[in-house]
Amino acid sequence: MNKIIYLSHIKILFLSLALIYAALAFSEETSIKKVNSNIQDFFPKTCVFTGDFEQKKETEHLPLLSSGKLFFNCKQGLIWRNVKPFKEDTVYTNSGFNFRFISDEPLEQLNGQQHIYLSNLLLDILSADIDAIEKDFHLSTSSKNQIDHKKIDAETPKEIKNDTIILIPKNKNIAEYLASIDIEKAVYNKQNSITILVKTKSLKTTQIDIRNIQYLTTTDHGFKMSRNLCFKHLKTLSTIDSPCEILENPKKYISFGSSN
Amino acid sequence: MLTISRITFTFIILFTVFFILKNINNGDFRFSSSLTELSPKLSTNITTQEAISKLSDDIQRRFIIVIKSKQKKNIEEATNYFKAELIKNRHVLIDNTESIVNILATLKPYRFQLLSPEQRVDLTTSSTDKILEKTQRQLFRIENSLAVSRLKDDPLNTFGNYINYLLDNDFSQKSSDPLFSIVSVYIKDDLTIKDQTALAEKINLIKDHISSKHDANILKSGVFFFAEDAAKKSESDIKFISIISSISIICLLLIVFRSLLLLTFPFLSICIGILFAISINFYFYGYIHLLTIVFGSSLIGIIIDYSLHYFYHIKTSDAIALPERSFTLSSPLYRAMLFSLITSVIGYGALSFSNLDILKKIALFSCGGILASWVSVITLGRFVNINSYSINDIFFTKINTYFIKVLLIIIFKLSFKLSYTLWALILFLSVFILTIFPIKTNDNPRLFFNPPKNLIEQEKIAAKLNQNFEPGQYLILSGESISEIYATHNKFLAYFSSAHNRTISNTSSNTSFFCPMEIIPSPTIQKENYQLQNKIYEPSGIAEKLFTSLGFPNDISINLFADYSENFNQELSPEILFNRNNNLPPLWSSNGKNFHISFMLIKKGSNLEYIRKASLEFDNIQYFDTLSLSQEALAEQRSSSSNLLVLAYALISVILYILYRDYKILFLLFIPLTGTLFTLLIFKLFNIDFTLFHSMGFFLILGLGMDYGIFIKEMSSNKKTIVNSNTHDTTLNAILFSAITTLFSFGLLALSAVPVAKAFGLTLLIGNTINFFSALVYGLLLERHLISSLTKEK
Repeated sequence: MNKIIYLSHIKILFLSLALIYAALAFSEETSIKKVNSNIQDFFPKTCVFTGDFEQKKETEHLPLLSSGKLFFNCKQGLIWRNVKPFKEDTVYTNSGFNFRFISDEPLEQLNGQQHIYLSNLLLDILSADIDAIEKDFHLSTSSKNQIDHKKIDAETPKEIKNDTIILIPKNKNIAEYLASIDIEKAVYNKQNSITILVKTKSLKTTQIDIRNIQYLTTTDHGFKMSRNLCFKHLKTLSTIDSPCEILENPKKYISFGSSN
Repeated sequence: MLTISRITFTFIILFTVFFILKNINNGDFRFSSSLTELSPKLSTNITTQEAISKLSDDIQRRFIIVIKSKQKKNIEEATNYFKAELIKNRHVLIDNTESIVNILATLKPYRFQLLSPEQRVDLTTSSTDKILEKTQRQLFRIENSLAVSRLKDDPLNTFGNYINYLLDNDFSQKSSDPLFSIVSVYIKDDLTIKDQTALAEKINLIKDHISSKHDANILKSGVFFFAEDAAKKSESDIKFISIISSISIICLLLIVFRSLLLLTFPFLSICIGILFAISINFYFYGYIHLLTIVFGSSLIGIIIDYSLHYFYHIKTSDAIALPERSFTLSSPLYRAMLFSLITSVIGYGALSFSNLDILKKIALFSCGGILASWVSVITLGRFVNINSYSINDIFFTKINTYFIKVLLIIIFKLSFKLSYTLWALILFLSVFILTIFPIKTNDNPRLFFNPPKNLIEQEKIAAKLNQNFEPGQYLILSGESISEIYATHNKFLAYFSSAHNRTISNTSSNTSFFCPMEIIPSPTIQKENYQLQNKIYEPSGIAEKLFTSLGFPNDISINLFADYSENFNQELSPEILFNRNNNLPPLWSSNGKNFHISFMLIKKGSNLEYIRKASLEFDNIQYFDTLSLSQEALAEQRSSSSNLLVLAYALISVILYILYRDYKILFLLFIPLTGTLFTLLIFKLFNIDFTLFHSMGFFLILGLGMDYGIFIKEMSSNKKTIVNSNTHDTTLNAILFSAITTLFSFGLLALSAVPVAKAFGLTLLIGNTINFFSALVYGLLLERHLISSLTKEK
């Protein structure tokens, strides 16, 4: 039973990731009405993309800053690479096996229930499964004008600007911890970028900016192209034990006896 | 004697009025339809029994709904709709959604005592630098942005990691099958019958909506639905029995006495009886079980007898015309009524020797009701002017008399040579037949409720999809201290896994159980955990180093360090989490001192026989199979009730002998004996399974049979009146009335949809009919005997 809330927490985070992608397709004219009526448009029509991220986590004092890269393939899963201050890769695969990869250390298989669920959830979300999102969140979109005009909700955060998707947990229990997840579309260096704001009830926020998003649009030889993109983006030289390799072929890396 | 009656009457009235007035303002009349009370006690230890009851109460509060459809989308829509609609009911929690906050709040004060095994290894074996690096990495991970505690309160996220560990060992599995979803519902309040019905109706409405709008099907699983079904049946039974028996008794009384005024007295006595019975039940138990009222409504048939006999005999008997004079032990009417009371109280009171709660409640209810209405009749009866009513000689009595005469002729012809000796022989023969062809018994507790088949089907399918543990089978570990239980648990696991591995290959066995010991570290480990964390919180420890590396000011950790040193003495007792927290099943109990018990649930698919055998090697571990234990307990009850019945016969014989000082009075016992034995023969003939509830009915057969006999004996004991055949007819008339009213009530009970009530009613319907005929035979023999002795005198 505890799991439910925890998973929902993780769900939220990965939902955010999914919505990064979703928001890429966000058109300038989007209104609440359009989002509700045509929500599938938010989700990927292509399967593979990469990006760079910067994460800023507020604490009681100085914020914790980190940055890295990500690679997503809807047929395989996600690689989330922290580069600074620590280098480590986390691989969430569609087959339900998840790994943490730190150089000079043995590959760690993440067997915890939360990781398994997280991976499943990711699959749901990145496959544009709106039903799954709406199961746990009130989904709405907002822009500055609309908010000013309607003054809908006293609790609606003031920082919302431009086009934003707001996720508010339906579950009371989750709402005890999580106030909302805002996903904002912005322009950075003339490129589309996405900012995810995870706001907890205690007003602690974690902000993840995702920039430099690149699509792989080819459908022919998609598998090979995807692999090349992964290697290129993550600058991995060796093919053995690289996160791209793990993502592609997770079963090879399952440690004996520890699999579920 | 009359004074005693009056005092008792005053007390009864005051008690009832006071009780009703006191509680009517609070609206504090709670009715229950819990099925637990129909289950026998499984353990002789009070703490253990309380723990078992508490666990089964908890189980009754939980139910699940399985939503199935061929399309994933439909399931999700239907599930959302279901949850959104059901949560409007303020008595339920869905998927235990409010629990996490409570559980975290409960655990938090003990966070310095709690570590996952992995954390223990880290803190024991890893270097400070290594731990520090691990913590720093963790801080920047994406999943860390929603950590349970703030960084400055739990810098290494030890508490958060412990919670994760719990989640990894969570016993509630989630389905990965996309073709159904499971919604678990917890009923947080004590539901009244009305709330219960409302909730069930709401679920049915949602079900209809879902099947029509979302093309999805709902399966219901949980004791709640069975209890609700039982309540519905009980309610309709109560209405049916009380309305029909009231109407028929009113008609009967009107026909016989032709007086509306007189009608009010029997009814007053019934009302006083029932109200007192209800009050006394509320007083002792705080609520009334619906089944008590089902049985109680059949009481009407018995307590009306007192009025019937009273008014009938007072009116017709010259010898006892004056009520004031009649209330001494020398008065046959009074004596008959007193005996009648005693035998009924013995009959119903015997139910309280059962270890089924429900029977104790029925015993209290019935004895209270009988006593109150008896006292009312005696006290209020004298205010009735005997000239204010007449007995319908022309219409009813004549028909009745003819009826009895025809019956007598039949019996007389049949029993031309009947004597006590022949009667005794017949009884012996019956016993003989029953010994050679013993009656088929059935002690399956599932027979007690008669749930609709579709509910059982749903339950089976849903259980297959959802249930993770063996239903009704578990281990109970007991010990004088918490540590002792942990030690037993460890030894058992060690023994079990070694024994298991020896015999059964390729099965990993250590995941066969779920118990508090897997969740909460033992007291010793908790102390160790605290010591291990010294590394973190000591001056210049890991926490301080972490804060420095993050550039935090020095004073940030002061409160945290103070917290750590203040909490050195904390100990999380399993009872705190698994008994006082409503969100978790009560798997731990204690008597507050030196007796603790813990349940170990057995995961489905485990080798039960093996676990049972392993448990035999340990003194402190008991294997509970609730079904077979209930069965054993009920069988034991049944046989002990047979012994009790023999005892009751003996007791009544002694009382009779003391009062009459004549061994011939013991022939009276032939009446209920015939009733009992012939009923058993009929059960045998129709192949009716004999259960505990049938056997309980025999106590009342004894009581009622004695009633009839005593009235015949008393009312014809006066040699002057025996020659007056009118008096004799009067007695037989009264007995016929009494039999009719009783048969009405119990006949209706035999039609009940509740198997327990049905068994009881059927036994009494058959047994009391035979009682009535036996009473006639007895009357005949008595008359013949008296006439012959009178002739001799002359």
